[in-house]
Amino acid sequence: MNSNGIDPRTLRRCLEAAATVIVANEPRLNALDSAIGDGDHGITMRTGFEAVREKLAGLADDAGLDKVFKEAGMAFMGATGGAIGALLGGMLTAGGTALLGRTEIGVDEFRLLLRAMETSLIRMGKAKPGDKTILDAVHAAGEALEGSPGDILEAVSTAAQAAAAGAQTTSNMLCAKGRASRLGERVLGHPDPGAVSFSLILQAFAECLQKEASSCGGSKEGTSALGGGSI
Amino acid sequence: MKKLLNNPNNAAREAIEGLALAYPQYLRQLERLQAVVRKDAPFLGKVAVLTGGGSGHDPMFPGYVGQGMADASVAGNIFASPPPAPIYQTGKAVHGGAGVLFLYGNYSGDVLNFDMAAEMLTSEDVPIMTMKVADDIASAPLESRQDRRGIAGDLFVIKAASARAEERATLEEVAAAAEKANLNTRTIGVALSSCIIPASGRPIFEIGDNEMEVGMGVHGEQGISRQSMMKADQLAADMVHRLLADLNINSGEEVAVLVNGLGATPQSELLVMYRAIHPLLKKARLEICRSYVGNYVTSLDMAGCSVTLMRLDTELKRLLLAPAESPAFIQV
Repeated sequence: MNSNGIDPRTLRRCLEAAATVIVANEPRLNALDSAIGDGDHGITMRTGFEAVREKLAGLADDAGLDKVFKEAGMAFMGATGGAIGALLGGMLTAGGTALLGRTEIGVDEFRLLLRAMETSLIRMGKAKPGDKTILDAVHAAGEALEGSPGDILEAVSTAAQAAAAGAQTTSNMLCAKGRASRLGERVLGHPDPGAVSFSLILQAFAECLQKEASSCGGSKEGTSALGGGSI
Repeated sequence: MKKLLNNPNNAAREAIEGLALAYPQYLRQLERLQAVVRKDAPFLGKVAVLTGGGSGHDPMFPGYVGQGMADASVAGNIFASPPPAPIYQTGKAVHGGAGVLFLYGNYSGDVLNFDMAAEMLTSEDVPIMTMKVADDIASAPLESRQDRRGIAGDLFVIKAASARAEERATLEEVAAAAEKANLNTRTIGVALSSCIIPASGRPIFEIGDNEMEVGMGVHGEQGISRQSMMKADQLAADMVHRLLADLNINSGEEVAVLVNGLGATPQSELLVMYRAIHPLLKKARLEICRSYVGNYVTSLDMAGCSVTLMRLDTELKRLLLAPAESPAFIQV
């Protein structure tokens, strides 16, 4: 990465870091899902990100930002199916479309990216903030960028923290969408697993970027994302 | 937990492969897809009925592909909808010029993925209509019927739609028959134990040794009430009472009955349940046109059962009784 933004190669390393974090968090995501669903969200996320990793490994070196996001989205969707496959796969694909023609992700592009992801989610999932879905994390991340977040490193880090907080707030919400919407008050006290997954992905991005920016080799690598955080 | 599996992550794919190898007289697997189609599909001029959803409900859906039954079925991973691409490819493979009816249970994951596939096919001028089965009375109140989940009633809706397609009806007529079957079908389930998802190897919910949950869904969704175990006769009376109230049926009307096992309950217990249900329906002065007892729509190795009633008119009766040949449903 250079000082201005995330180039396609850095993006690929960020996605691989996200895959590593998701795989490491599989048991935790399964446990979160057991509380309000059928307990396989971690398995699904791992399956999806393993497919993303495989797809990235086979991608041409000069693939642009849009291509990387689109291929990742299609790979995720194709491997997992289910609601999360369509929603998260659709978000990644929409992110690719939004970045068409851009060569790096600066703060403006990052805003654009999150906005495109949120729009895709709302269009497909017909959810709104407060429905206890992945949207609550995505929306919080986008909102956190409305001020002036500084450089891209700070922007991603700010968005990741906001996403984690957004995921945490879903604990106090009733489900309005999906199979868990039939659970009523039984879901209170449990965060939405999809929202947690999205915050883990952004956290992995933030830590990957920090690591690449620090000249002394990234001593902070992965600690909070791998260690379970506060959620 | 002991399971007859290889890599548990491949359970859904290997089950489809086994089905295709075991029943070549009815169906074949589409190359590289977790999908089966009738062995001589596509049929020129016939509407194709395409079913699908998450795996783990065997024999639903792929076991109901055959003559007089569905033309195709696309299987997702365990309890997860298939993605759009294989639905799209399967739709193309079975389209015989008269269009394709998508028929699946009403779950948000399935709706998302099937709708995306429908968009792709429509853009290539393949006419698509969609039927989302919503028969589970425990999942939403009657006034929001369209929000209900699809469970064992899927079978009756598939049977009616497929028989209508076999009569060479138009896509609109096949969809209308499916809608009529859906509107007249009600199911309620009861779970005695959790199932175990192969890849996680763990139960998906906790339930006490002396407890059961009335109205629990086929993926462990919360039901109407968690209560102490009761005798089969008492449980049957409770379930029939709820079904009749929701169906608002009059004496003298005719019904089809399905007592369905969720995977780990022996046939003998399902028959004990049917033995109690039959006189209750007679007492309500209903005509029992046809009854089915067995494992038709399961939830892996969950113990428990569901009871389904479909109210019949002349058309639905004709469609129900039409001959069918498929791995899991044969009727002469």
